[in-house]
Amino acid sequence: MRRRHRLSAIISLLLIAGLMRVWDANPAIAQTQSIGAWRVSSDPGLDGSSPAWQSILPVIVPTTAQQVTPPMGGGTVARIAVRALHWEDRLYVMLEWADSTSDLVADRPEAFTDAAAIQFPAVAGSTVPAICMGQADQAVNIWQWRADQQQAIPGLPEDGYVDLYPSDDDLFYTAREAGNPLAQEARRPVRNLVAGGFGTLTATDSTSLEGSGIHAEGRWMVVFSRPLTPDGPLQPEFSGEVPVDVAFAVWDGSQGQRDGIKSVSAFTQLTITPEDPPRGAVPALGEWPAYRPPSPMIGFLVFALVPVMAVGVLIWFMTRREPDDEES
Amino acid sequence: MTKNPEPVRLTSFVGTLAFLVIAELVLLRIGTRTLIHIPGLERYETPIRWLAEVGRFAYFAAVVFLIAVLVALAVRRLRRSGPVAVIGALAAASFLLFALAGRFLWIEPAAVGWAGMAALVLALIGAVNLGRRIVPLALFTSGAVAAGWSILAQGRGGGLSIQQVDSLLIVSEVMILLAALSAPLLLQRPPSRRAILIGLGVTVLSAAVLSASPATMSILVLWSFGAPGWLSGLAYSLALGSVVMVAWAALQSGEREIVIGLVLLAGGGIGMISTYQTGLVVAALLLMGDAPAAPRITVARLISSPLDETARFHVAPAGSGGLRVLDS
Repeated sequence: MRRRHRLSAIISLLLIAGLMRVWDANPAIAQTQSIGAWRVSSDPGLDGSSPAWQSILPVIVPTTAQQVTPPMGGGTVARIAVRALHWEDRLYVMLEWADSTSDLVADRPEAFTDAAAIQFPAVAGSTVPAICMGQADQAVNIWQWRADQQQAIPGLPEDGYVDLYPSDDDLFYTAREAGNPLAQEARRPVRNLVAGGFGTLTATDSTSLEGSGIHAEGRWMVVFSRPLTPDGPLQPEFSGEVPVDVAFAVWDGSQGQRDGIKSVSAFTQLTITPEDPPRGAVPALGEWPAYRPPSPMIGFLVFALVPVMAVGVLIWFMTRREPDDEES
Repeated sequence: MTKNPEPVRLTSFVGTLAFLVIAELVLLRIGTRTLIHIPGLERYETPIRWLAEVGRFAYFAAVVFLIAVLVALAVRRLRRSGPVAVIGALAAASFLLFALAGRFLWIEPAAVGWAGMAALVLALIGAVNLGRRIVPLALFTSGAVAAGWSILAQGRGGGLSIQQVDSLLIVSEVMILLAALSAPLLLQRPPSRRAILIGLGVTVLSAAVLSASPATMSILVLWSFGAPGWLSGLAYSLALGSVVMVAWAALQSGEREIVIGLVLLAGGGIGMISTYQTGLVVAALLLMGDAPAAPRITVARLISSPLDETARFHVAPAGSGGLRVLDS
């Protein structure tokens, strides 16, 4: 092909790419882990330890520490088992992860609660937004569950207070009056949030999101549920047509995890499917190990074989150099 | 099959593709998703948005060029004779067809995933004539297949226990590390001292950075390449240094297929993330498979230059150009 023709072809391809960008017509599709939201014929409920949930084969999503924006850290949870179902017009997503302690209260400055979150792009696009709270031109919708918002402090009556002002005037309850969702009297274990970049996390007025967590035999099982159709802006619609990008995060309060210190996954995909869920031999609660370091054989491969191989290849090359090869 | 000795020249297209891959990797996947988290950069939101848009265009252009390059690579293989060439063409053509069918939802995403893995294996078989150069490519492909298997055989695919998923992910990481460490085998001749020094420098520098913040390595490996990053930072440093050394040496010796192939492999990763990224790996394998086969020293060169002590004499098969000295 002559140079002029090559140049014409390159310019033509760039123009095609420009048109595709304008129409947001991405020829590529995601091949990440696909989490099927299977159809069930009865309400699976919010109890993740029930047979309705535990008989379904999960998808294992690897996680790592959050190291993009301060405060960084976490990563003590190596993986999350994810299951998803839909019943009538509601979507249910369950996250399950190993955590030997249930951190239910954050009653001291140095105490932190266990928590979990699911993140979706607020609006479907050809590329996924930044994993940490989205970005200015691509907002994200975050569902967060917190253990300390799910139940009263152990030992404290349901209607008890840990702090008391001698007045019922709202102005004395400054955080509540300012709209801080954590200070409201109506306790909600899950919050529906939106963000368009670091430091922009905002609670929505949506009340359709429900969720509940249960801690048993060294792991958390947290179920989120929301109607397939959103009740406000910047929240994804779930339909059988298009997969929705989704990412996960969990916090281990006993490890001092809060805010950006957490275990996060990369974006995967969630697909609403009319098929029945896959059921099979799921490990019993007690058989599921916590994070398992690489086996001794893998350790041998990495720490012995790899450096030996690197040095070997290098020596092999250096000893067979031709005398006239030195150009530097 | 007709045999046409005139090669299909792809240098301009694959060179442009490599440039676009670097642009989208740096601007879209890394740059705009980390810049926004740097304190004080909020006032540069508009330029960052523009940068993101440039990255997004680079992504679309890279996808369009990738399709063109895969078509051209398939045509180039078909214009040669022999089963290996046909298998290479089949890899590119079948991958494109399955990716297209997946795009239009004619087939399940899982089918696209399995087809992508099959295309990787076919592309590797199509590079079987490379001699020792196939070693790093085979290791990389093994890692990609292990990572892809861990994704595709979960959920509806079923059957994989958590331990098996862990094992596959670890195997994929070990394989990608071994592929990087054996990358010097891709070179036609030994790397220069300068290239070795640069590789060692990158190893030491990255080891220092990763030792200071090991979790950073995990998240970069997970988000950029799809592997969980569970191994030692030293192993990743050695791998990075090896790849940089090879790229530098290939640049010095004018082995463009190797440099471009490494860029495409880096852009593709092993995580089975999208058809775009899997397609980059298929293209890289086919492109590197088209590189000159074995490093040889002609009789003329033997006479005109001193021979390395380790060189050995071989008689080439009849009809292949007469007596040659194969620099083994």
